[in-house]
Amino acid sequence: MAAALSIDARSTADLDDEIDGQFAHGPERKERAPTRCTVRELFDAHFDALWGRARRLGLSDAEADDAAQEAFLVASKKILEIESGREAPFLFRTLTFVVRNLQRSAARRYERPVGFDEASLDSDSSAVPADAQLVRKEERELAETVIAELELDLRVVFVMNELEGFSMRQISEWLDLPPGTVASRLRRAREEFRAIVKRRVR
Amino acid sequence: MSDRISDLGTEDEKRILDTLRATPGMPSSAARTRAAAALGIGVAVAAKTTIAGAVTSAGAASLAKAAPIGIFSTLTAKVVGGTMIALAVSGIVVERSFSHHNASPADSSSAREARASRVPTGASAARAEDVPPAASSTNTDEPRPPAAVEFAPIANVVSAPKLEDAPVVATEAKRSDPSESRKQTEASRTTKPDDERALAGPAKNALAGEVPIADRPSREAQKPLDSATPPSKTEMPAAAPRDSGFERELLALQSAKKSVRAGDAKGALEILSGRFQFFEVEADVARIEALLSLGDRTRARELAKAVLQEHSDVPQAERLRALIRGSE
Repeated sequence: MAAALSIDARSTADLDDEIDGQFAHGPERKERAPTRCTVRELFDAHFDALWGRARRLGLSDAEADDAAQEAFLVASKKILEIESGREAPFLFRTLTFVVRNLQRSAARRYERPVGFDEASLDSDSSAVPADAQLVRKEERELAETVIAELELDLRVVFVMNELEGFSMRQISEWLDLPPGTVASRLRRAREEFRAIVKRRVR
Repeated sequence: MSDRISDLGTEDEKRILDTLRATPGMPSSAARTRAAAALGIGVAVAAKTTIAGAVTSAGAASLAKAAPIGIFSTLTAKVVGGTMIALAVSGIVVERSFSHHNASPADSSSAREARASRVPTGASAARAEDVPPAASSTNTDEPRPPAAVEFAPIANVVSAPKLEDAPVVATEAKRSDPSESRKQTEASRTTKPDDERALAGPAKNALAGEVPIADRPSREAQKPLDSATPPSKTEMPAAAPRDSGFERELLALQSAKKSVRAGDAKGALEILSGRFQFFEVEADVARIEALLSLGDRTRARELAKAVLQEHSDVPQAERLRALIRGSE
């Protein structure tokens, strides 16, 4: 059955605390002016991309809907804390916290809503023969299983680098992580990914 | 030298990465609309669809309730004044709005939870109208139309009793001086007993998130989709004492999807038993999802076929076709 992924009040408060802590900048960080974007401008410019990133992180369509919406709600609350020019990194980091929170709420890694998402796996395959569709579906399921098995911290840097083409420096800037941490996580993510693929693909 | 799997990986690894790259797609229009509404930026959505006071109110309601958790700090005194106006005109307890301003984080969490799950009523929807869209609210230089003109239609929509002194408050609330707004806050607090008396009845219930069944829109006007799924007597998010089908449908749809995800497919079908005009296809898709959740693939397939016959070019068409193929 589908996992209940609603973010309850308690967990949302936890999320706020976590985000406040994670976004506290060190003294060495250069202060920037707050963003001049409105919530609406942020939404128009970043919602689709953020939703896509949620999907790449392994969420189902419905989960991505919830996660992207929650990330924007957080951003709307903290609009004055978002630095100018760093709106997208802020949203992405918030999304990662939301995803982590969803995982906690679900008490397990990823459980997909029943039935319909399976159908959506073939959403672009109306002209593809049935056997090819089956292969495609299996590949999609395998890929999503593999990515979901990665620990979230590793998955985030892995997705950013391998799927979205971010450099390690860019990842470091986006996630506010030291370059060494990014490099370490990326190396571990690749090792885990290879191990998972090796185990899953016989 | 790069050691990216995309460059140096095995064929299997590259194939999986390619599959993952092709995964995302795009969010559905319903998801965008829902998120925009939750953010209080549904004004543009409503304007585009020329449905006055529909999604706008739901979105603004969320924003109003989100106020204590930080958004309010971004609003200008003009917004505060606007809040006062709409509250006065719609007969809502003004104090309630300002209690948000000083609410604790814990309160804000509860508010957001309520926002996510609670039924927006006519009263709360009207309260929502008081907060302008976030896009304009952060721009203190942007002129706003006269408040009385801007919020006047709300009074026609909301069934809640009106305050006797509403026009006076509305006039005074036009002022954008923060000190004036604060004065209004204090003044509104002093009027709380009268407000509460005024709210005896549907509006008070609405504020509490409890809408009497008697106040719900007539179900006779909503033909059930399926006789096997009678109208719900429990939770109908559309139970707002206002004539806003768009908003009702949006929230009913949202609630139904949550029910399905929570494993309550029967509850979802009950919520979806009414007729949907603005979100017809989305509602059918949600029904199909609920039927699948119940294991009733036959009915799900039949419904999917019916939807495709009527709407062959909707974005969900491919999903529906895939479903039909998969269940045959």
